[in-house]
Amino acid sequence: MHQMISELVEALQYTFIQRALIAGCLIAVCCSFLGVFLVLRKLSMIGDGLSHAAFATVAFALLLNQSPLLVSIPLLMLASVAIYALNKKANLYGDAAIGMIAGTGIALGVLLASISGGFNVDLFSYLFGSILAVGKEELYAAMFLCAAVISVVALFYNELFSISYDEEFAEVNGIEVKRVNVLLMFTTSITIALGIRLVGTMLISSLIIFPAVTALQISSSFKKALILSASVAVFSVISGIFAAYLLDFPAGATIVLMNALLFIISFIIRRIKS
Amino acid sequence: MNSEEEKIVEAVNVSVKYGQTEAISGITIAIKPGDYIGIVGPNGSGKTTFVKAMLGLVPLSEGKFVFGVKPVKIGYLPQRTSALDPKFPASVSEVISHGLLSEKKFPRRINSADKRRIDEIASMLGIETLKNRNVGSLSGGQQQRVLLARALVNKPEIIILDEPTNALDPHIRENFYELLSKLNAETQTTILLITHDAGNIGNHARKFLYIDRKLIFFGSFNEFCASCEMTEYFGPYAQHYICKRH
Repeated sequence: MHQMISELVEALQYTFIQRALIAGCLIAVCCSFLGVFLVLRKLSMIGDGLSHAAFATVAFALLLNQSPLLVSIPLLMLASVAIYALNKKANLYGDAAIGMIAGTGIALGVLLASISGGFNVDLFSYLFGSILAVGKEELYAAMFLCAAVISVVALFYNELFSISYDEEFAEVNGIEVKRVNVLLMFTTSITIALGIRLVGTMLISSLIIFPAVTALQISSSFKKALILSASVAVFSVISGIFAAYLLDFPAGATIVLMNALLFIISFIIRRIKS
Repeated sequence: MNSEEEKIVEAVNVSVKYGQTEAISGITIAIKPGDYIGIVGPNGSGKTTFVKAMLGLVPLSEGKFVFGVKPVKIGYLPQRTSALDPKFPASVSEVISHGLLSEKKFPRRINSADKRRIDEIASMLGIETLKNRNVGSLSGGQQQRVLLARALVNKPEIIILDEPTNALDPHIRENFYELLSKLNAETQTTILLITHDAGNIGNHARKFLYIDRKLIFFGSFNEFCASCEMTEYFGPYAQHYICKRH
């Protein structure tokens, strides 16, 4: 035990661990907040759809030799609007629209990777995440964008809550449902673009879904659900990074498995309570 | 006060189309402050479409709604209460607070005066002890009161209720009707209530709006029950069924 603690203290001395913890916690909080709104609106798979689309945007950025974050954010915003429009205007079922965008994203990604000479190390690092390789610029970008996402959630909290509970009533109440929905899509796109660095395009949707569903098992009010979701997300990132460091596991996968473990615990608590 | 001022809202030749299908056509009625109107009609007759058009939720293909001189606040209790997610983690206070957002400017915040108003309306509807409970854990009747509180919390001049008593058992249904009658009598709130309960609504509402894709009847219950035209339209039995308890 003593040795484990001293190893963790030692880990905290490393800049790459410090950066991973800060960036990870910030992105996890964004994912957890948005996750509550998306899960309650039965749009949680939007994270999955956009993360698959992100595979294409990263491949495109690498092909152009540009920053994947800067290329991904606007393209994912467009993809999110496409999901929303397909869902609303083309009268498709929500998950069908998400599936279509996800499939197109993966296909485009494979095509672009092939054009640029096949899968390389960079593209693989975005597939499965490389949180321990977060650079200084990426950390600053994460801090700035996370602050923006959290501000949007805080400023539009009541609108987002009202629309999540009863969209029709919110519209009657003068809330601009369409604009708030697009805002939710945009903030989700930014969060996905940031999060793929953390756990990769394959696992980012887990960071959106797990903390929210875990919190929803045992929360009696909306505020409690948001706070608990953020707490679960942050705990998963911190414990996941430390566990990965101690056991020499891949960090992204360990974070997701920590989330899964917390969900199982909350599920059992709910069963016992009821 | 002239007749123009007495109208709180007027539907002028209102028509709505869904694609090529005409849901309602050419409805013209004038609603006065303090009216309590029961809106009745067969399934698919356009009752919900009519109120949704009034609320601006569906576009009009023809005609217009003219509201009173000042901006009219409308409270709304939608039809699909049972479709609301019972697992949604919202407390009673949180749900009621949504009704206050229409009066707020960005960023819409609930302040201490709002919290007092929420307490007041919860107390008026007898749900003050449930304030911190999760809405999903309440009975159907209690949930309906919470949604009514949400519709009333911003003191609307008009309240529109779309089949609010569908999921309620007869005893709770009567309590709910009594609550609406009391509200109408004490605060002069105009009530538009869509119901399938044609045989009972005459005990509570003072006016009767019968829609079957077009306006069939609008007027007082006495007028309806004495109308030979309506006897011809419905046949004597249906008219008697609606009027017998009035």
